[in-house]
Amino acid sequence: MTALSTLVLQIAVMGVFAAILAGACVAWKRDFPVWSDARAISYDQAVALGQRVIWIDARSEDHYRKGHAPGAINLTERAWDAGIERFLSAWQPEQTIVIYCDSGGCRTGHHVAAHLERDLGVQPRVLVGGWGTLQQHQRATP
Amino acid sequence: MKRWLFWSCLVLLSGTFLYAGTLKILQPRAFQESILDYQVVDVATAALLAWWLPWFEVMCALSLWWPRFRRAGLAGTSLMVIGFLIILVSAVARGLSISCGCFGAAGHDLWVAIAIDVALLAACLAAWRLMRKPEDQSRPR
Repeated sequence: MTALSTLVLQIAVMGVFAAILAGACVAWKRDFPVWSDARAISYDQAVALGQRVIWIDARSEDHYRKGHAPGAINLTERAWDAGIERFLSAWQPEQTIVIYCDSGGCRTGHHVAAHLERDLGVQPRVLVGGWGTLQQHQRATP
Repeated sequence: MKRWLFWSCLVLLSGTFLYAGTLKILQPRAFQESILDYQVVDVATAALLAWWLPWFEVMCALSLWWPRFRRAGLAGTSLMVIGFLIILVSAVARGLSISCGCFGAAGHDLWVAIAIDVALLAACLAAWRLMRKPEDQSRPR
């Protein structure tokens, strides 16, 4: 066996061993990473909803002021009380709530979504790709 | 001097990957969100990486101390460092304003992460250079 194939084999053994340990850890802790994202909505799906969508900008107020989706309401966990009032005055129950953030992971957006689910019993969606996707489609307004 | 430098590189690489891997193992969801922030893979792939990669980091870190697996460990850490560097540079090039997610939830600015990665890459290269070949008994193994 050549040195290279030995090296590849050893790396593969370590990879398999890592997978076994990871599986054992998940089984023990029962703390799976999220395998699918039920809240995710693509830009095309959101736009297809037309007027039946209300946008929530879950980024910081500074970023919101620099530019946001048309009609988007700034709502963050940090400034919840002020944001939720603006949101409730604009939102109609038949509208789908679409949240976007700076990044694809949209940690802050998922926090806002969870808060809205708890308080209003709604099912908000989170935009795949976040603000970057909106900018790519040139739908942002200053 | 060479021997001292070799073991220093090993301590640096092993310590960094052991620390980073352990933090990520403790917070798999936070690590998955960090992966998604790079906008390169979908949710399922990010979950798979968040599940497996931290353990591979720990395995590579530990194998650096086992002479029989040292080359494989060093190859694994080198590949990861190069992979991380590519993904970090691509995130900077795309103008993403994200935390690197390199050490679990406590992330760094992307430029800081790139600097750390370059230092780790230098340590990998030095360790490869100084690692004793099977037929060469004069270098540290």
